[in-house]
Amino acid sequence: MNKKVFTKDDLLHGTSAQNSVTGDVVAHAHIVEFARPLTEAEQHLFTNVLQGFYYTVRFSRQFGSGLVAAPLVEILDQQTIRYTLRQTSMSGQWKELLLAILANFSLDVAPIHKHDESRAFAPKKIAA
Amino acid sequence: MNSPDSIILYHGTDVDSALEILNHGINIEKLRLLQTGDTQLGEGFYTANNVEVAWFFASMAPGTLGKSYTVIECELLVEHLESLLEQGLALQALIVNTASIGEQIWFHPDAFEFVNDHAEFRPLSKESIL
Repeated sequence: MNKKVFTKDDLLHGTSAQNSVTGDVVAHAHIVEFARPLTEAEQHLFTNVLQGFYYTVRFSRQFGSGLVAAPLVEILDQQTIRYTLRQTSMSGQWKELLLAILANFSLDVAPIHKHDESRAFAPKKIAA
Repeated sequence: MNSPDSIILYHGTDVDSALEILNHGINIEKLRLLQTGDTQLGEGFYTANNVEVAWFFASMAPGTLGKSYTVIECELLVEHLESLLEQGLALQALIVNTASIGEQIWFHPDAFEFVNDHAEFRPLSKESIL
């Protein structure tokens, strides 16, 4: 029996994250949907946490060295934030660090319902 | 396969890389084109036991420029995975230093031929999405 040849039509497609390239720099934007409206203080904290992530990656040099600018954080509404990272390479261990930071923010501050297509940060899933 | 003696692992990547794996298996030369920086466990094939974690990494995959991304399934007999773990050709580790969000299972390039021969790669089934 011939093995089935898969095509794009067989796949579930994620499209929430958006990428663009300018010269050597990739900008990739991600949507974070919180389970409840954030207070202004929580919005600021989220921005600060992402900036801290940037400085950690940039100066520790333990997670790849591709980030070239502090994240752009946009408050789309009280429950939705878009952040954009700019870097020369999307490969590297910064992703595991970002995953940990978002997971802890979701547990400690405000529950993240979705990150693009992922529901990995919903506290019930983390605690399970 | 869908056997009680098997485990389903999830791999998030861009759609072209997903189709390459689904139709031709995992290939170290193709992976090297994407894994240009340091990776947590070294060069190899990364999967997660949590489909939601795989979606997170899919949205951050290096090959997603101008493309959509996806998650594929890799079903492997538990005895085969255990054998690879014992031989050091696979590693299973918590992904992050926080409350358990899942584990990642990494396959050394020397395990690729075995995995290609014994695992079933398929698109993510809708039943996998909770």
